[in-house]
Amino acid sequence: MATVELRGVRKVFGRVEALATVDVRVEDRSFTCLVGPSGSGKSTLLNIVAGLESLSEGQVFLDGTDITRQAPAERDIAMVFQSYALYPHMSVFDNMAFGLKVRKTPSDVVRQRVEEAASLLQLSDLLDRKPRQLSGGQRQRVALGRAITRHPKVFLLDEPLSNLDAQLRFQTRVELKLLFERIGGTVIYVTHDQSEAMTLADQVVVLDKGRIQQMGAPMTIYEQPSNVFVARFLGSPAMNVISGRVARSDGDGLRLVAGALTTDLPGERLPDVPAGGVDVLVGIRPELISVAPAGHLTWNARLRLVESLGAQDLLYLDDEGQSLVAAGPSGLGAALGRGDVSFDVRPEAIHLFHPESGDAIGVRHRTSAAPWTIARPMEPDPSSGTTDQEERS
Amino acid sequence: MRVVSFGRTMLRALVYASIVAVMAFPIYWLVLTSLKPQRLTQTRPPTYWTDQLSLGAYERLLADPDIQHFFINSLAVAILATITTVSLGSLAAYSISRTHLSYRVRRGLLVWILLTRIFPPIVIAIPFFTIMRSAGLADTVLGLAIAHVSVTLPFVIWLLLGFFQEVPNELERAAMLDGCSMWRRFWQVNLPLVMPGIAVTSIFAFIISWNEYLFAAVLTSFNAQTLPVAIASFIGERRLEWTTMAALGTLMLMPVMVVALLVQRYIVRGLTFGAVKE
Repeated sequence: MATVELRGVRKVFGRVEALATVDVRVEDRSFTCLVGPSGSGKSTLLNIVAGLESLSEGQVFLDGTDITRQAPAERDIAMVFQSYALYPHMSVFDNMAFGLKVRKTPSDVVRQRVEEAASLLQLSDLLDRKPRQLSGGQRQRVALGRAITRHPKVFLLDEPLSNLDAQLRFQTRVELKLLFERIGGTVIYVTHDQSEAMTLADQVVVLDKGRIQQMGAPMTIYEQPSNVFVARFLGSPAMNVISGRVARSDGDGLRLVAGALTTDLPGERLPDVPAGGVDVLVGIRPELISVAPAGHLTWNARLRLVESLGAQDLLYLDDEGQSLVAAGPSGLGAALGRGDVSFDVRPEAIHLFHPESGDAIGVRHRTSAAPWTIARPMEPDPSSGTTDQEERS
Repeated sequence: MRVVSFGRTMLRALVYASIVAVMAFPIYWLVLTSLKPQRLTQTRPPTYWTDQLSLGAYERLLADPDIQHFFINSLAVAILATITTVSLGSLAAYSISRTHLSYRVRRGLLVWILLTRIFPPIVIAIPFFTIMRSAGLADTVLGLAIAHVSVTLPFVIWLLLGFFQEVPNELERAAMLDGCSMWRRFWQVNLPLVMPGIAVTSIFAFIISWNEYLFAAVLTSFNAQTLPVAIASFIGERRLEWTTMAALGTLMLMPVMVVALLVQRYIVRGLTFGAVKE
């Protein structure tokens, strides 16, 4: 198994910059998710690692060796494609054995490896079938099997679950996680689905418009997003972002006003606020807003709509013209009824962003410029606990 | 409603019937002429049917060692030309479909390939004759097959290109990551998937070569002479042997018809391949 490192990688298609200078390090036996909306450059990045796409600048290292100029065949990297890309004219066995046969592996080893992978993926009974005789989920497993039999240094997965229906996707996600924990592979996984990234990854790389917006452990990014894009991209339902204003209050304190929401913040949260105050964007995760009947909590709002998801209720609040979504326990919406309600948010749950750039302000966060990895398996980083969230970087 | 749809069905049947009649009549006429006595071939009004049918012309032709010789030549030239064209054409089509060329270069290349088909064959027949003679290939099966390749190749490249482009690019990429060289990707991944295309294209190439007259007339005299030229040779100075010519034409038609009937399923599939997404 292996480490992968991208140094100063840049990709330009004609006049379009698909990837701005990108530095990423993927540790041995770690699971890295590249996540972003379509057109964010995540697939381009994956193809560059695979060698299927040339790069305009920069270098790619595999285990410390520069592989920038190597052909895909020389890289010892396996890839699972979104469309699975199974060879239609070959049986499941031959699909899985093909890469080994091409590399002139002795036939007894080929048979052993394929059978191993097949039993791991519950494909043992299907080895004689052709891909067209398989269901979507089975095809997907064959595609995985084809990668696994090769025992490659790195696995690349390009949206492998996106062609499956919701139920199967959920189930396969769990199986994928267990599978790669079991075989201990270095994995780079591309997805546009933030929930896949959150659940699968040791390290998440959030991309948008060809730039890395943030890199780090999923919970670190979730709790300390470096800008509005990351804040809203990770988490479902998405983080509320409303506009507000921070001004100095008596003494060292700060006062934040966003509609009815008026709260005091510790002064060190934004030390250089001018006397007249400053506009900010206020980010609040829906699950951190408490809602109760009018008069019970601090601020008032109107409840406009309730969406019941079964396990939880989504409450659409109107905070003096700005909408806020709160996630509460199921049944809360029915108990409240439409109309006036009250809500509360703890000051620690409030994120502040610059109104123009969208960058987090006053919250300690990591910049995308520094390559950043996390040790396996998901050890909490001592420097990134939630307690220092309010410290200024 | 019913009356209208019945009328429509009848009208449609009539249209189809006339199309079939127009297509089938020459074949009927050819076969009939080959069976008629010579004196009935030029009557006025034409003899559309007669009881005096005979297989005499066929008997004479099949017993003629020269005709056997020409038949073997035709077969050899067509097979050789087909194998060569499809081999070269599939390699060319594959590389054009998979190489990263700019739109202009790619288009230029394809137009250039097609350009070789726009001038009248007679224009290149004479240079071909000179070249073949100096290469010692005049009046040889090989020489004529080479000339036929020059006719069929552009056509085959264009036809096969569509089939290769149908093979998803991700398969190509998967094969690259599986460690395949370009040759192996062609041979083991792409070729098995375009086999219906290869079959269709081979038949077309075979038919073009089998029917080709001009080059065969210019480049061969006796040793490598093919059936179309043989048919024409029955046009004598004083008389035309209609019955013999028609019989030979029918004989020539038969192998092609049989093959076409056997593979028509693939031909239709081949011609509509890529028209709809599967």
